[in-house]
Amino acid sequence: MLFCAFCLMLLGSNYSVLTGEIFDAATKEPLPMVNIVIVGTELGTVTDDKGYYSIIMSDSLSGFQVRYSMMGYRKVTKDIKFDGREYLSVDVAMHMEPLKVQGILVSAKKKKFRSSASITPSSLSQKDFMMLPSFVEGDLMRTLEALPGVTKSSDFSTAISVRGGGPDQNIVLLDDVPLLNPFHLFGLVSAFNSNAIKSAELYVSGIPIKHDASLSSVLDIRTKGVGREIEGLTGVASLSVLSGSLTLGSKIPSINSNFLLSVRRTYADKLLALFDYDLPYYFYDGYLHWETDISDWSLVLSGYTGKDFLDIRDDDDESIRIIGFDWGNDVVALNLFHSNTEGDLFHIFAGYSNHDFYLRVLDTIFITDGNIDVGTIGAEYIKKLGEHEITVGLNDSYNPFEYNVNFLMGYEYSYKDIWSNRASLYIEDKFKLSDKILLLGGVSLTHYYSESEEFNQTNSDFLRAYRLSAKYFFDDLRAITFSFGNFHQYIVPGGSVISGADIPIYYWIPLGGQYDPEEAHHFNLGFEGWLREDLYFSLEGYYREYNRLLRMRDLDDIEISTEQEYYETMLEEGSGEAYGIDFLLKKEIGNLRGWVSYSFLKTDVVFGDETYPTDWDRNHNLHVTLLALLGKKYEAGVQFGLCTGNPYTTDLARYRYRKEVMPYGEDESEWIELQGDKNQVRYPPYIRLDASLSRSFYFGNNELDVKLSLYNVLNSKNVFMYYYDYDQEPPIKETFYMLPFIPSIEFIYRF
Amino acid sequence: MIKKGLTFLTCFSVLFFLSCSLDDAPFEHRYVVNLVLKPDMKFQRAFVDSTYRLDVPVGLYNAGISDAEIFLVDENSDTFWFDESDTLMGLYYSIDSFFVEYGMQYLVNISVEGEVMSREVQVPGSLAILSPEHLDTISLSNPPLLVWNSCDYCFKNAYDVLPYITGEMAESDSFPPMVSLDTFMGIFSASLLFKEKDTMYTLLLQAKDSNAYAFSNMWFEYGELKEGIAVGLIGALSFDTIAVWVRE
Repeated sequence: MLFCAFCLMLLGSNYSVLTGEIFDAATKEPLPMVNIVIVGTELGTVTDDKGYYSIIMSDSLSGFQVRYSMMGYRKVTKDIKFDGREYLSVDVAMHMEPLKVQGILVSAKKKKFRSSASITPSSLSQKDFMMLPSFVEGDLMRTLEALPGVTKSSDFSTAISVRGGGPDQNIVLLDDVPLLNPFHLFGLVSAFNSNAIKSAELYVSGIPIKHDASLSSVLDIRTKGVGREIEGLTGVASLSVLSGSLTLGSKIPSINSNFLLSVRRTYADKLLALFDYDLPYYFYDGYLHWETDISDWSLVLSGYTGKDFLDIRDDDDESIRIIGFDWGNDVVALNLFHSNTEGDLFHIFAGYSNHDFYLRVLDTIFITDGNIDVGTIGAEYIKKLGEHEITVGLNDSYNPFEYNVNFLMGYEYSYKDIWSNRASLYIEDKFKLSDKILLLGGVSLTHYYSESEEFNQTNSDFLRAYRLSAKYFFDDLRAITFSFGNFHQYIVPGGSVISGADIPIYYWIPLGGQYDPEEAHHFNLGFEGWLREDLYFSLEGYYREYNRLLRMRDLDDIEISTEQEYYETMLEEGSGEAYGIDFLLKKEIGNLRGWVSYSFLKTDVVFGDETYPTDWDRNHNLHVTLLALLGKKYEAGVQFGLCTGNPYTTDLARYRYRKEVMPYGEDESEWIELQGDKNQVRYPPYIRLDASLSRSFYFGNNELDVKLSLYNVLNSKNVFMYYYDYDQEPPIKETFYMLPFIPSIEFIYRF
Repeated sequence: MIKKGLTFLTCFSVLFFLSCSLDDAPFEHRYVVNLVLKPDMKFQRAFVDSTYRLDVPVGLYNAGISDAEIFLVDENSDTFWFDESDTLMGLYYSIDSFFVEYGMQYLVNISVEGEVMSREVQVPGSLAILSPEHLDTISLSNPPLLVWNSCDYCFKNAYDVLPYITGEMAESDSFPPMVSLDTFMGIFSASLLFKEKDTMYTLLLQAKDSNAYAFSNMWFEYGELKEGIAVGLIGALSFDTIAVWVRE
């Protein structure tokens, strides 16, 4: 738009501009790559990533027709009368429709294919994770597990592992601000309310240089706004078996703004209270997204708050708390964008993220609480210079943290004055060497500083990160890529808050003192393109070397006399490697869409004299995801997964532990298993089929979607763990299975 | 297309099933030893046993290994031998009585079926609860601190406190021992541990050597005594107890 205005100035007043935004009528999502043609002329364009378009026209056109078309959407034709204005804005809402025509190039994907120097990152739109089968309700993180390179260790956690990296090695960014432990219900569902999320992009290779704070991947999540064309109040009210949510959005023309507010809460505790049953748990979360234009700047202010509460009381005496546990996040992000007439982009961002938790066990016996803050600020400038696209940026991340552990007033740790700061300067150049070759190189220099006043300890490090990607285009439809780079991680988990459990609520610890940041190297070689005009594929092999990994030591190896000793001995250093191949075949348009992904993965980590595969080392992973539009009212989704079982540590034998009851009691005896080497055997293969069917009911401009989801339709008995029941002799080997068949229903009303 | 798909599925199936190693890990035999030295105890005890298959029945009295040779050597080179019990196979008692001393270092030697295991054990120093006093009355509404002396050789300076209703030791299984890194603990303010009021409670205070400490931190799993040959615990602890009357 700014560019067009600039052109108009150059061209004089004989020209006018037609501009506007195209969006999905149901979801209000902007639609990129919509074709716009002025009928009877050769004038036309396509919408950009944000759904905007602009066409410069001669003033001689006083009245004409504009046709808007996109695969999968009903064509729209508008009669436009030009009354001599130089600038005319026309926004259009497009409705989805079943497709009858195939064979049109997927322009948006191709644009990314041409502009990315590595394998195009996997992305999911809100529509994807709303349409796919749900576990109790649409969940972004559970949808990610079907993408290539993504594995999990169990159904009980939505945390993902990417290309062999641990769940803690993915950074989750919400509008550019890190979000730690973004989970509800002890990890069973993620913190991302589908109605408030616009899109998610998972970077597993060719990760931009500006992201150098995680060893494995970057999950870039964007909150959703309201299309500028929306008149009045718009929104979504939804109800699932887990929670109810309300999303409201509107344009505020008086201040040239729009906002979207979304809140969600579980309701089972309130419902059961009506029947005198006390459910001691609930969670809530809320999102705010506010956009405005100030002069020629676009400003986006977004925020998130979420909390989980668990409060289990003693049956006999309610004043006694057995377990009290609450945790949550607060995030505020401010993003400012400005583009000049030469197409350069200037981006300033500032954000604050806080994760806190409070755990109280058995009345006053064990109390721990803590919080970690992440304050970020940065700026980035993208400049096009001929065939170069130069990105220069700097950012700063400040991490104070505080933990307190109190064990019956006799065992008390307190970490209060430890903080770290990471300041980075980076430059990246994307260079089109020829029509066939695209290169990208980037370097960053980071100053990492940590300080603990209490421990009289400082740590100052300069770290260099680099990225290099190259892409060779055989033609418009196929290319090979190569990329490599090094990655650092500056905060690590000091174990799970609930130790020993598969719960991704971590104690995050900024590294300081003798702990240098973790480091990994990635090497990727890929091939991507289109088999058919509507059939995208990618195949990428990778090798990752983890030069420095940190993990929590066994308790008996940690010096526990003082806080400082504990901090200085709690982590041990190791190394590791991961390699594999990821394959994706994706059909993005048509009445039947979906993808097939296959991943081969092999991992090994080394700590001390122990070498073992990680818990999420599923060697073979096949996922099939299908979405079908069945007429105008029905949509169906199917997800199938077949994966190698996770590794586990087997029991080799048992021995009798003769517990000598102190001081003078009779002996007690119990059986304990003798375990083999860590993670040397595997559970049976993991199989799961999910299905969903949704029907839309239309009431004027409003729509009610009723979605039935069937999780684990086959009721596959996927093994979570084995244990022994010693009530009989010999003991019976019992199996604890992962989630069984779970049907659920969601009602989503859009207005 | 179909041919390519079938080729892919065939390759996937072969790779997939090759990667699924079954849970058929073989049984592994180990000798199992438990010997924890405790000063002030009249006799010291040791258990010598082995591992058993998980799918084969084992009776309470057909376990244990006979004919083990067990002896201790102290810092003065005095040697103390153990004899096998007549009542329970695998149970051994020291021949001498009251010989384990606070703060003394011992070399423990166990020889079983030709395999020799040995460990150096540092017995913690003397441990005594200073306050409250034995048979004091404790008011939970005005809870006093439990205070004890600092004990030499107490590994990591970590002390366990376990309260239980006097005479009902089994009840204490519901709670793990409380841990302190200091010489006091506000245990009486944890009302959940003293749910029965107007009742006599015993408080057991323990200090451990490094081996006993590691054992309790490994969720009571035995560590390796001899790589691939024996697992178990050879360690030491000191303790003290008091009984107190607990009221509201």
